[in-house]
Amino acid sequence: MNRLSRTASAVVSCPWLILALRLYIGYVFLAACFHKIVHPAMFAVDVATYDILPLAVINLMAIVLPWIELAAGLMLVAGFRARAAALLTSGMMVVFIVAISIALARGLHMSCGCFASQGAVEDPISLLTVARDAVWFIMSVWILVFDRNSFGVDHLVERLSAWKV
Amino acid sequence: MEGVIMRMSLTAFLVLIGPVVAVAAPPECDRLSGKAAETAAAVLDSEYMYDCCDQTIRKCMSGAPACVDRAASIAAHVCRLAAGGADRGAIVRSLEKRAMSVTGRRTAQNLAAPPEGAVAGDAGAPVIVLVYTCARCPFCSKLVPQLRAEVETGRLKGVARLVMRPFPIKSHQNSAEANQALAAAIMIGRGWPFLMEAYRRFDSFKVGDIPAIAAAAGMEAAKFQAAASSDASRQALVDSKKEGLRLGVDSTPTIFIDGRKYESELDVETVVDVILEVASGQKGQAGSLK
Amino acid sequence: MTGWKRIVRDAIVVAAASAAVGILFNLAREEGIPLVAESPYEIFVPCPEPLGEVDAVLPTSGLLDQVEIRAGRTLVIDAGSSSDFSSWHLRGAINIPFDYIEPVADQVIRRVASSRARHVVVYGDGADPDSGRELARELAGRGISNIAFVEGGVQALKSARGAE
Repeated sequence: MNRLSRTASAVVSCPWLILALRLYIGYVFLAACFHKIVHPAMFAVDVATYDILPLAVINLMAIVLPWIELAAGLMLVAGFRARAAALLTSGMMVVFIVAISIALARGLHMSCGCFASQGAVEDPISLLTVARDAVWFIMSVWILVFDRNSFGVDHLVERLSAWKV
Repeated sequence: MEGVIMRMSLTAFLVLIGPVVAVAAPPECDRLSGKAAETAAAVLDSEYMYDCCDQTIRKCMSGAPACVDRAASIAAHVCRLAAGGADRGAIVRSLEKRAMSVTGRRTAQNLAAPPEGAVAGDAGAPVIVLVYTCARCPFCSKLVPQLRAEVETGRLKGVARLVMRPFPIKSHQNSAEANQALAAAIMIGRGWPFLMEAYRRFDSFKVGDIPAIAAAAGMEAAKFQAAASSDASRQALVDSKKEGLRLGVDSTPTIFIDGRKYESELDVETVVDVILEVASGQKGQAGSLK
Repeated sequence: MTGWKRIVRDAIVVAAASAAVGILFNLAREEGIPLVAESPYEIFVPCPEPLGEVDAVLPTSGLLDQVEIRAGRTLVIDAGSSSDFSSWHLRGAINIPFDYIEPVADQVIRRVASSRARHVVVYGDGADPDSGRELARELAGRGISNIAFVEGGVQALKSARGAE
């Protein structure tokens, strides 16, 4: 029993698995932030479409959020403070899941072509979106909890300083 | 005490000069600043009125009294678009569409007289405004109630009658059920109350809500049920959609003012301004916009 | 400092720093947006009927030759009701009754999409509006390409090719 749980923990915290998760989630966030950074006005409309945030903070959200996504994505890919980045991505995934669930519960059919944001038409939200985001959330939490300095910048710095001494 | 007198005299002053100021520059234009103000000014100084007055919009605003109101209404249109970030080209295109909506060819003519349940506004109002609307269109659920309020109690009271034409959009969930119910309500003579109630509950709508909406619109349950499941209401809906397709309707809401397809901005201010403009042209006295 | 505290601290620092970068970048760039929106967002836009572009073909078009239909290069669709279809249809045509209110079912769209025809040609009642043209526009809007309708509809087709 003990051995089994030890094997299990060795698997879940296997550095190569964590590295793969880090690269994947990092890529997801980098890919997601690019369009939002290039077209802030369009992203602001997307945020407004959800009809959750008050008007006063919609633009601030649209300006700030993509940059946090960019930073977290870069840190995950580079392996620099990856667990802090995973904390950020987990938090953002929670926000996205809540927002999409509220929109679904309100019955906003964002696929009918009636929204200013074309993204809502081409990629309509559904329970599948929630499930996909939930998977990404679990992966983020996984990195947050089990990452023990898998290969990356921090890992290199540590090895280098150990080698010097 | 002195403060009160000061305020009262200031108010009196503002009330007196108010109309003059409003004609000189619509509030939409006064609010602008920066790049938006520059864009609006450039358009007002370079674009000519399509009707009524042969000068630039700005000159017409202080020109012949007959066209002053019309120029101010067009200036407000320009400034609203500029405030929304539109560039000069977009504003000019929008004005061209407005011109078409006021002076273009009438395409919706000699249509069958609308059933009473589809008409809102005063019986003697001269301008007929058709609105092709889908009971499940989110944009319609905002704009159509605003337009109805304008013809019932607002700026269009006594000026325009608003006639609804159901135009079910196929991509809207439950649009067949909701719009056939609307057609049935029109047959019974309660089209407008039904549509307003359906739009009021738009976000939480389910097919199962239709009887409750009909009840709230003042219809007897059995009578409504019979109409809603009848071939007649289904046929009325198909006929309404076919008529829309013949007139080139391909989205909702689509508005026809006095037989001309309205192509310009779909915010309630601009739509109401254009209806007033058409009305003033009909009466042959261009100055009676306000 | 414990590990978790450090993680939270790092996350806050990174979030604050990126927020600052984002705000500064937005201020500096040409297409930046105001920090606080000046007017409410117009979220809704008019709802379009999901239609696509279609061509018109004459009833005598070579696309409607039996050789093309039998070889599977042209898929011909009759938009009439099933009773009209059974009383007359172009040989080789399939029947998709057009309805002005209800959309075409998904499985029907899949069936049309999975036919390996190079062209799809629809004919309808030829009235105004023409059910054939409307069905063709709906199918085009749902992703069927190379689709046309027969000008004049079933009557024109009957007089041109009734013998076939």
